[in-house]
Amino acid sequence: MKKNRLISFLSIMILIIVISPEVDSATGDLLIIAHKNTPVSRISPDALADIYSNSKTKWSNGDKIFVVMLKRGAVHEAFVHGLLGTTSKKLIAIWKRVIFTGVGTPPKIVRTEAEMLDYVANKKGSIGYISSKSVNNEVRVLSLR
Amino acid sequence: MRRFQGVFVVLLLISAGSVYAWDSDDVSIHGFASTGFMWSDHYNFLVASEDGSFEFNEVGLNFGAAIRDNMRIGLQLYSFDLGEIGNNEIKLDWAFIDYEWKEPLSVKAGKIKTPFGLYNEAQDYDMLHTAVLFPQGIYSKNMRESLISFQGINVYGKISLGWAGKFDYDLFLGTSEIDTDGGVAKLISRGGLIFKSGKMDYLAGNRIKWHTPLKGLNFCGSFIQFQMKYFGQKNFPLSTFNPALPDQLTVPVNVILPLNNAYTYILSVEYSFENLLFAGEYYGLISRESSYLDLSTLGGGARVFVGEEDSRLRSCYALLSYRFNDWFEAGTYYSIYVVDEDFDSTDLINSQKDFAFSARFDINESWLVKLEVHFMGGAAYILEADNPDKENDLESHWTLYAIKTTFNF
Repeated sequence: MKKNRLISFLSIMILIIVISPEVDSATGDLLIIAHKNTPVSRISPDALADIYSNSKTKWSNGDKIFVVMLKRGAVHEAFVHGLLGTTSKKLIAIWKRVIFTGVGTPPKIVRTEAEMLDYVANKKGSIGYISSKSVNNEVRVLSLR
Repeated sequence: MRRFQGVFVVLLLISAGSVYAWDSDDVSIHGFASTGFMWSDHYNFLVASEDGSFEFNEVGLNFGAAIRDNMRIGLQLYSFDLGEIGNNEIKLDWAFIDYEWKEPLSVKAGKIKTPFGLYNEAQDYDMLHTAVLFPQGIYSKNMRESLISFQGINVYGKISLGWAGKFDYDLFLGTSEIDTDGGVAKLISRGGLIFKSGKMDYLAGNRIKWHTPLKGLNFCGSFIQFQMKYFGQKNFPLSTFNPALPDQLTVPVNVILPLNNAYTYILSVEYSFENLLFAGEYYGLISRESSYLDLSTLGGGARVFVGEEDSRLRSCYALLSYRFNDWFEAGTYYSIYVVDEDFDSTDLINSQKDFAFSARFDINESWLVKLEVHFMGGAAYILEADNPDKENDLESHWTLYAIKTTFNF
């Protein structure tokens, strides 16, 4: 009986996770944040990867996208590996190419989550990532779809 | 100029204490410095490599600033030394104003890196790739100045194709100058001809890159049409113009070499999957070179037609690289280059094969070291200016070694 209940419980949990179309974080307690005037409330992992590889540079309303990245740390690694599905080395290589060939706007690099929060809150068009414990209501949290 | 270079080097050394670029909300500053050594067991290639040479370095410093959200300016200063060319002279690498109107349509004006193939814009920056030397049949360091950048306008954009992926495009038009003491001058100076000056009258081109629905697989096509003119001088025996005169007496005559309706193209494929990168490119350069003599000082015409010659260069390569971990990446490529109508890769003088192996060690985020070896077959890469006795000293197989280190911030 206990085993059946456990199986039922796990099945329900799996079902809930699978059918949930949107989650507030894709990896643990990692949140995607954007400026409050950003014209989207949801973003796909593919769109996120395009933004962070300089393949997508404008929001749907024509506003320029300003990319913010943490210099290093667990939150940064969770974002790069877990959400973008790439490595820090590859990401750095992409942006170094942008910088030294002049083909785009390089990302803003911040050292702390507090700096990330402050930049995204004040820079129109910006997008970043943060742990849920550090977020406040000065930024918009984007749902992942 | 030397004092400026000294200050420049000091700035880079100071920044070595910090791996962060200087970055405020208004201006960002980044830079790099590379130095290397090359040695070959036969022929001088790019540098005096038969004796080993350290005349192989690059330094760059760039500044970028946003004027408005959709508009930014940037410039990069660059200096390099490659044997007899460059000589660490600081020049403007690129400088432009960029207006990003919409994602499918933006425009850039100024001095711009030429969008050509997969790696033309990135070839100068050692930290952006595995190899020390890109396949020289396409990304020739000797011919670098002819297509590395231009002054003009570049319209570009990114267009989504929905389920079919997306594509990036570039359309550009401009002109550029040819250095009097650069690699092109070395290449043209052969058979007694001394290069005096050159100019790219115009170049017009496009590049389209298709990012396919299969993540990591890209195809690219580039095409440039251009018109170029070289001016040189050569000593001719007076008997050339008057058979009655002795051969031993010579006279310098100005030579005009227009390259009309020349065009060049590259077809490219690139596939990256996790830590693996594969790339392959096929290149062609078709031109008709005319020769004119200026005999006005000898009482003749200012532009006397001598002849014309069609030229058809081809090259291709396949490249593989793999990043094993954060500090080690290895790569290899095989390339073929042919200066021949019939693409005869067995002709030693007019063909070049290059089998290269590279190892890249990333000491940290800002500092790397590379080791490389090239097993070469043929002598088409070899310039007469560096090897005056080339044709009497042909070697079918020779080897080039290179070591290079780069710091960037």
